[in-house]
Amino acid sequence: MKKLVALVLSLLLATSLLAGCASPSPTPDAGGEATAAPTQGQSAEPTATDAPPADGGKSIVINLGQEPPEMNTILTTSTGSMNVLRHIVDGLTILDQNDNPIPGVAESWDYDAETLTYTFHLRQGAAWNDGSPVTAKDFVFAWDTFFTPETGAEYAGTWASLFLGASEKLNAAELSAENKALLTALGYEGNVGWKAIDESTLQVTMAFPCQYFLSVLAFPSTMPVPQAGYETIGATAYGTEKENIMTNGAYTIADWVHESYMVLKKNPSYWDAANIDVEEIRIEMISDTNTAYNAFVSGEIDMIGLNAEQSAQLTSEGKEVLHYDDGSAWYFEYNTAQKGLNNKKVRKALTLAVDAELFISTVIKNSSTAAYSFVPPAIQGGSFAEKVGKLYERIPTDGDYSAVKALFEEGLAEEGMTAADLKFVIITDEGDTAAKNCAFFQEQWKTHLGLDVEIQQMTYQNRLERMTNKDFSVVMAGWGPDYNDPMTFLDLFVSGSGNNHTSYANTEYDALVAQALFESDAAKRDEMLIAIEKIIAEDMPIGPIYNRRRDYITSDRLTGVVRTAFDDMNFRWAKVA
Amino acid sequence: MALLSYILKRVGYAALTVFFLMVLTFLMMQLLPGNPFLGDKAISQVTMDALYAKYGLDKPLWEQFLIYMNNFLHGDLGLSIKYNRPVNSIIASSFPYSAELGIRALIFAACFGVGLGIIAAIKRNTAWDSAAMTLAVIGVSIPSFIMGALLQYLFAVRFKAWFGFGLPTMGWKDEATKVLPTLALCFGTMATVARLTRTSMLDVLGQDYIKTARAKGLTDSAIVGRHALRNAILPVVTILGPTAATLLTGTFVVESIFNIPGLGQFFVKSIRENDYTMIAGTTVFYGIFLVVATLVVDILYGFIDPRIKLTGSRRES
Repeated sequence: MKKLVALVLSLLLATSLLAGCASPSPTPDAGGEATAAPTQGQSAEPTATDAPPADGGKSIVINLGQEPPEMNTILTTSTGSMNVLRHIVDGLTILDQNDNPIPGVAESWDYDAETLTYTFHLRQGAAWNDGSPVTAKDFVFAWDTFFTPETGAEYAGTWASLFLGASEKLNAAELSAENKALLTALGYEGNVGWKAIDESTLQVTMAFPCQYFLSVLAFPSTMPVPQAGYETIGATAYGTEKENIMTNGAYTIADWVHESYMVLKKNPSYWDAANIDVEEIRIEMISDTNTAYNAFVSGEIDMIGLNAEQSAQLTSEGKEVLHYDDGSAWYFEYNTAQKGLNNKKVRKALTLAVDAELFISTVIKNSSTAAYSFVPPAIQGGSFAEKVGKLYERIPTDGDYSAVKALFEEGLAEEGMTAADLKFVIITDEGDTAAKNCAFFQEQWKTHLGLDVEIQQMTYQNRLERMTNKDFSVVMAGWGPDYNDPMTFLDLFVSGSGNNHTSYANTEYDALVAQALFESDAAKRDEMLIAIEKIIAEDMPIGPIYNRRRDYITSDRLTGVVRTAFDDMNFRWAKVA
Repeated sequence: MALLSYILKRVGYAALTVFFLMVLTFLMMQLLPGNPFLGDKAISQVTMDALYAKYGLDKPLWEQFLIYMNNFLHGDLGLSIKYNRPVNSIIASSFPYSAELGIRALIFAACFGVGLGIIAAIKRNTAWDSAAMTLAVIGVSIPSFIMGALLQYLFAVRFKAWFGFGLPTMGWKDEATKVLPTLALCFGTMATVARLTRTSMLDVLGQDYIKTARAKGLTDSAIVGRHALRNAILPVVTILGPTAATLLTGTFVVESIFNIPGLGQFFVKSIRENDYTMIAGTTVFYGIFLVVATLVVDILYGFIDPRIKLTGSRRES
């Protein structure tokens, strides 16, 4: 149906060949003023000037692959936008090359473990691009706005659990008497655990002893926003044009032609400017991977992402292809409310009947790794995945899947079914890659289990809707980490959570997640997290398949680009010859 | 006077067409599965409601449509849900690229297409004819995304490898960057125009008045230029209207291959992303453009071919 509608809509564009002539024609140049109040600049000139950088040598050209769709730090959710934002805005902390939080706008901080309260001392001289100083109030304003439900910030739900009072604010709920007393005792006047003590001192209280709190303060959602600038520009227009963003970071936006390119220039008054080598970053927004590849081969661009074929081609030419772990886990989500799929033996058999190693070597064709547990190795540098170990065998000895098949049939028998009764559709995204992936799973289930399934491709928005409404049987889905802790994956399947599309509900699991959240002893907490992993491996509301790694290449003159699961693309540490 | 009333009538029809286009688009958008606000992270109902209210999607459909129509009549196409930028300003910033590319392609296609067609017709059944028509068949059958990729690979990548220089791979900056996208875009249209010109030229060249002209001893170029082409060009003009609308409002494939920030991509992306205001905005923009182009062509007929009377009845010739 959705394909049909999309097709008819497209056709509609082409079939309005009925009559002729004009009614009120939309005057394109009447643009900007239509809504809200964009302050200054309008759309770019059609003939954008493309002057080479004045300094010559210290500029690079890279491909972001898309227009950064949302450059308002409060609202953004896209990796592409965050890649740019991390260069132009600093939070209280920033991430170093190894994803560790180091001082950003906050020069130093004190921590009181008793009250879970941080006091941040802001850097003297930190300034916005309009010259005004970065103050503690800018953080208070940003967080107040971020946790207001009417703002519509998607990430608010993720971070609300960390800040005292934020969950209540976001869900318009009453604060518990205990928390209220706590806030009063700590000297907060309102109902939330953050306040500006003075211009350069910020106090924040956590809702639980969060070990990754300082990294979260480097995340774009928690970056400061100056109230005056934000309100002059207007909430709607904020972040939509180069003039409409307040920046305090290592770079400023010098040029932005929508859907084409953006130019970042080094901020000479940035506190760490002396250590930043790349003077200018030209960010191209090439969505066609072949075009990006051709541009790289012709020497027009210094860094691009690679697909499997391009990666193989360049490797065969003796070029050095680079990889990074983007931290995402890819897995089947099973609808555990559906007959057949409600049986954990069936789910386990479906998961293990897929030879994930073969999948990577023949379909994905890069250095991605097969999953033997849920939390991917990108978390905590792989140390957690190591502690968990392999929770299941992926390839039976001699490739004999009869045990998996027996498990499958046993599970079905428990539900009074046979393989012929289990009919479902696996839903996935549009495009070649998704189709190929699912065709592989389809074939594996047919061969190893004698099971016939159908594949249905749909737009991303449609897939998300089906998942949210729990209107699916099996879906190929992925999850990327928001912070460097196993919990960013492990709390996904708490009963009734909006992110849990599987209808899975296990009180033991829920209790462990709640316990681990408030456990401050690292060893004990690890034990709990490992126990959660084991429950997931046992019940398999999801079937982990692989952990994604990505290939990319840089020109010979560009080195030291940081690409990690938490900092997808960062050039502040890069060197250019 | 007749022309004026004809134009007024057509304007009326046009307004009606655009109105129905808007109604249909508006209704069909509701059938699109998905929700523009869904992302990988689940959001609370409070937030979802706030987002629906922000874009006016919480109101009943008829009210949404009335608001949309009212804004439209005031020249406001709304706020793109995906980009948070006014649809007007998105169109205003991307349309100039598409239009420039389209105009270049159109001029190129029309000139070379007509030229090829004339040569093929005059030198009928010779090597000239075969060569021209082979080129046309290739042009019609190779889709622009193949043509674009081939041109890019050959003139940008291979040329640089072979000779150390070549055209730029992508972008829309100086003249050099505009060569390949224009070629890629015009090829199909050029081929169509060439075939059309040839057929219609052959038809005209067989007419009695051409024989008369020949008998009078006119030169070939005078016959073709003054007598044959004027009549033969009519079918070409007919298709140029809709073609212009298609080329000028942006072509997804060519713009994507050459990374040109034109309007084309929004026709595709907006539907994928459930960006309702953008879907409606691009559709209406294209619809109006097409309707105007068609009317302009119809009026041009009157000047090119006096036999055609716009008011309907045909004058005896």
